[in-house]
Amino acid sequence: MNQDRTLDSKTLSLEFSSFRPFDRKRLLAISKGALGGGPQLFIDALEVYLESWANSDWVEEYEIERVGIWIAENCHGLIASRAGMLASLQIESDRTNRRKTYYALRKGLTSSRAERVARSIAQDSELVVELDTKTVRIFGEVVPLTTKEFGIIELLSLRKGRAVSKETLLNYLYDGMDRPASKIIDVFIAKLRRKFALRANGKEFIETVAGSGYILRDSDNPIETKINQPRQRA
Amino acid sequence: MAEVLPPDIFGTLRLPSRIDSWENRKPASLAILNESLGQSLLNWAASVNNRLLWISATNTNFIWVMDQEGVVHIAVEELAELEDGTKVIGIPRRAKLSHKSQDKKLGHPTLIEGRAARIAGQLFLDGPESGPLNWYIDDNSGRYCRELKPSTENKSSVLSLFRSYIGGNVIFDDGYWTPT
Repeated sequence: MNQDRTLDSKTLSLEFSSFRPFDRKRLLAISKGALGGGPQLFIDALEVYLESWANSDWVEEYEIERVGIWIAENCHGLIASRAGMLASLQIESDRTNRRKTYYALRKGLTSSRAERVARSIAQDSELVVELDTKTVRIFGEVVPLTTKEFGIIELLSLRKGRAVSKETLLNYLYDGMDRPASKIIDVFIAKLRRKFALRANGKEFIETVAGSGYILRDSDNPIETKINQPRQRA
Repeated sequence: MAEVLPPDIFGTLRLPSRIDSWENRKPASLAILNESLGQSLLNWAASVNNRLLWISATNTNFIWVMDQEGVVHIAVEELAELEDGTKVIGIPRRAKLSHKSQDKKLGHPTLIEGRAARIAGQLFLDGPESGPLNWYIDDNSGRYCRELKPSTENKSSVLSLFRSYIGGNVIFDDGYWTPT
């Protein structure tokens, strides 16, 4: 991380404004007390960001809602709760843009919870592997994976219900070029299990089959594999 | 060779929810996404191997809109006016220089003269500090995608289209996840 960056709430507030993936990573780290920050700095920066909108002559509510959803889905409950308190203190303001700003934050914070519940009910699969977009979701939430991790889950999902050997996985990932030792597959599997368990209350999706390799569980809830085929030109 | 997909799979046509008074002209950088432009963008990302280019690349934001026929119009996100009302032409907006509320910019509707669009969003390079950069797209257009949110299929289709032009590593940023 660049050590030249100033760690103050005003500077940090601009990362809520930019809100690219690695801005969010930095914000999340600061909310956890990494990089010399902490929950208070995070909340202060959020407030600076919101106040800039509240005092402006126009409001991009869509942007603020996204911040609210991200906080609810990624940050500690304490942070989400404090953000909710910020919203509740301002939501009845008689100034339109102030009201719009904090209402958008509250909408993001709360709709994300509602959507998560709705998704977990509506979703017919706990684990969805979208091959076309290279995306894995658990109860609708995207699980960030590296290319190799996705490669493993991709092959397991294409052969779900059947054991896939480490040798086959190695061939699939490395295409016969500069193959590392097969132990690397165990490392990738361990990382995948950790990422899935975090989002599925510890539930296991990948089972080890002694002597055969790994299998994607396909029993209580079907694991869904989606392939969006582009339509061909007429 | 880029795949030509029927435009309806990218989303229902929708008009912009708002056009600001200063959005009365096209961005100076306006272009059409095609194979030639896609190759240039691909080459640009590949050339970022030092701090000088990293700073330049990560401070640029492109906005794009897909029109009724499925053509993607793209431009650098440009300012329309400075705070004192001075009109400016071809000046990129710097996302981290000021709060968004302070910028009067040429937003998505200016790319297609306020007409209806199927989907719209941003294109940008992002990555770890001084590390390798990746192309990202999103559907973050308050004017075109807030009221009528694109479906998963719409997002997937537009991602495939961008990948066909600027390479298979483009990621769709839904805004709600955090890189590990």
